[in-house]
Amino acid sequence: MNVWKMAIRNLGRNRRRTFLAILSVFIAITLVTFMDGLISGVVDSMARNFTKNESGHVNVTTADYRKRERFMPASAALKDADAVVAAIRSTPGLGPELVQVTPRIKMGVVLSSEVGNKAALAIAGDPDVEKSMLMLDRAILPGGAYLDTPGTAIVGKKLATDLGLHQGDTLKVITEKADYGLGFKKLKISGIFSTGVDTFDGSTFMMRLDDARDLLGLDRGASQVLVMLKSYQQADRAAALISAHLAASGLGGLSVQSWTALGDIASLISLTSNVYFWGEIIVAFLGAFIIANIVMMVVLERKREIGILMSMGMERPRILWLFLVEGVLMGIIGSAAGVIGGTTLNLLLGAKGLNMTRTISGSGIPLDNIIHPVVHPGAVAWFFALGILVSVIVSFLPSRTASRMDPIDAIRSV
Amino acid sequence: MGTLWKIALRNTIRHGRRTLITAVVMMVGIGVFIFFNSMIAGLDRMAVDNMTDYTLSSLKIRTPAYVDDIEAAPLDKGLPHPQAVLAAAAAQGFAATPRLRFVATLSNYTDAIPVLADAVDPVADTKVFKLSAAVRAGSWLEAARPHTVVVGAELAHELGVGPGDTLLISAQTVNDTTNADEYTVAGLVSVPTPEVNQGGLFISLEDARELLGAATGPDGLATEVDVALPRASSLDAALARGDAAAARLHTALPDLRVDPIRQLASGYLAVRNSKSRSAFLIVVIVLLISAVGIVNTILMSVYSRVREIGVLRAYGMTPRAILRLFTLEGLALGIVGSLLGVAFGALVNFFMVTHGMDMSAYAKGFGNLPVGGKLYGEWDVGIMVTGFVFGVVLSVLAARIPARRAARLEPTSALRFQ
Repeated sequence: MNVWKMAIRNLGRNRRRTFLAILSVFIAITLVTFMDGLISGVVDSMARNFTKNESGHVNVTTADYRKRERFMPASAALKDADAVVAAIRSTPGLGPELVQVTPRIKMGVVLSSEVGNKAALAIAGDPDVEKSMLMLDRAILPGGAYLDTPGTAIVGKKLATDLGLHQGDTLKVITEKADYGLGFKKLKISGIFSTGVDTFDGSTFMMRLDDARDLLGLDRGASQVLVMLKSYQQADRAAALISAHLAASGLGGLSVQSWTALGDIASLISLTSNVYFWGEIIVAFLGAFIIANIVMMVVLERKREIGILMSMGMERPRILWLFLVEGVLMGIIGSAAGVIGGTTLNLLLGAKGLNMTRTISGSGIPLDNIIHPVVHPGAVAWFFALGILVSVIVSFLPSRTASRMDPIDAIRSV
Repeated sequence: MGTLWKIALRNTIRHGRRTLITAVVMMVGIGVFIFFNSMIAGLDRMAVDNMTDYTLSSLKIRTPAYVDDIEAAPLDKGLPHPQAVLAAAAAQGFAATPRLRFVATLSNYTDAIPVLADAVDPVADTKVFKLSAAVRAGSWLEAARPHTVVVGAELAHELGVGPGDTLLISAQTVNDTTNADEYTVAGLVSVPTPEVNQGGLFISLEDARELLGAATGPDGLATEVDVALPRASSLDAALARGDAAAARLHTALPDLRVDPIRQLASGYLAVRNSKSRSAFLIVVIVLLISAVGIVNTILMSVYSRVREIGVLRAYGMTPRAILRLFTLEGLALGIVGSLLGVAFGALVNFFMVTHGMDMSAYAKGFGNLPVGGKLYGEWDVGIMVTGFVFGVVLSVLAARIPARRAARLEPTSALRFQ
């Protein structure tokens, strides 16, 4: 007799109980699938913002600059960033994975206005290349212009509001040059940008790379060279390749780092993923616990049947298998429904986005204000498997109890 | 009713193992619920306490114009008469201290970094803030040692300076010129607030006024007066106390803005509100899961006794009396389980309140939020009552519904029920 057929028929014997178990697994798996989609959305948003605004997927600079990174010292910048860019472009083995290589200058300055003073971060890059990196050209408020002409700057909306600055005003930037002298430059505010990332809009302004080189006395130099790849998961491998190639091209001694090694974002991401991994497992177990309970009940209820099956010659492993299959079937149906439910929820919310503005304000984490849950096919498969796995685990003990019964006692029992 | 109670109690004792299993499920469910609530309340308390102790104080008095432009740290919108404000706070019996915030560039002669500096009264400040107790190396500012500064520990580490080293501080003066001077590092502070650790610079009021070219003396330039209130028993009490004190001070100082901690920490409290919504969701899930466990256990125990119900019916017990019997059993079970749950939750919570849990390892996960050090639980009687009532109601319902069906069965089919 086919064990699967028997198990399916047995499930139908108490439909309400079966439904209850499936519902419980369904809720648990829907919950973890949905939460995972949301967390992936948060992680993707953090990784994307951090890499495009701060580090690139791979970040190249001098060892000295890396050590003093917080101060963004012009004196420690790459002297010939253009040569580094050219060398990275010719790295063997990267091929189509390489999307963008660009020099960038960063400096911390105190901006002063009629109203007062505020510490701000200046980012300078090639205006055309930055259209696909910082993408601030799309964030300019109506009426403003991007960095089309030399001597212009675009300012974050909150920073501009705080200092009472408007489009058309002049920004006076004073900073230390590469030779420790004092650099001074006047920039005209051509536009105000609003990206929706509060930490960025409140502290950043952007200028042209050539203006910044002029200001700092960095002829062909830049603070860093940023490398963007097709997928941020390839960063560690690419960093190793680039590092080896730079050393071979006579540009050794530079610090080549994957974004995962820079800042707290990567450790924050792995901490979040770890916490949620264990959370998911616990929720899945709690959801499947009811299966253990039901299989236990079923085994006690059908003691006589078990005795009859055994005396008719059904082997003990087959008995174990029979009850295990019954428990696992509930797990399979519940997990399948749960995965579908959670994925549907994620797809719906993924299209619409979830407003997190209030949750994240003040935390200083570079997160978009609207989070879009993402669906990873691998994760969905894992949750389906997880639901089945936990139902196997929780059904095992009661099923084994059934397989170890003595046929004579079992038949005699009520 | 008396006889039914007796039968019900005897039944719960007779099925000792089943009662125990149900009670344990309830104990864990309700206990986790209480513990979880305590953790969340403790986390909020810790964050607000840290802000009160190290950055915000309980109450800030500033001019309305200053608050409007606060992000630009304007020097020309300071308090007109700091002495009068201090006197008003003293009249209410509050400790208060003047502060002057300004944007400074801090340099170790190689690297420079802009920071938001706090000029403080070295003595009065210790009565409002706990920074002097957080000095890890060197010492806090002293009036007898001018031209010294205290720096956040991480910032000092990055600048490569320690107590005794010299730093160059430059800032824009009240006349819009730039001035700079050298200062000796007196000490380093390390606190759970990342803002202070990574960017804190503290200097005496007199030194700062001199650097900024501002009015000196007892009524010299100050941008704010910070007021300390005694620590309240709970976060909500602290918020309410702050509001009340702010209202009283505002009557005494009608031209100034008096912002209590509710306003000062509004950013965090907004996070807290939305966080408590998601925390509430988690709590509901925890309760739902334990509810499934409780309902399931009781359902099973009632179903396994359908034959017993048949016997009772055959002996002439009415369906009504049977329903009552099972309701009483559910009630007894619910009370025992819920009491155990509350006791378990209270026990775990007791350790959370007295010993605390070290959070330093997770501090990074909170970004710039002032969370770190030890997390202590909070007592909340309302939550314990909620957990108890929830457990009792749930077990009564879980026992009633199947019992009603069973009681309505014909005695013969109930007896045949397997």
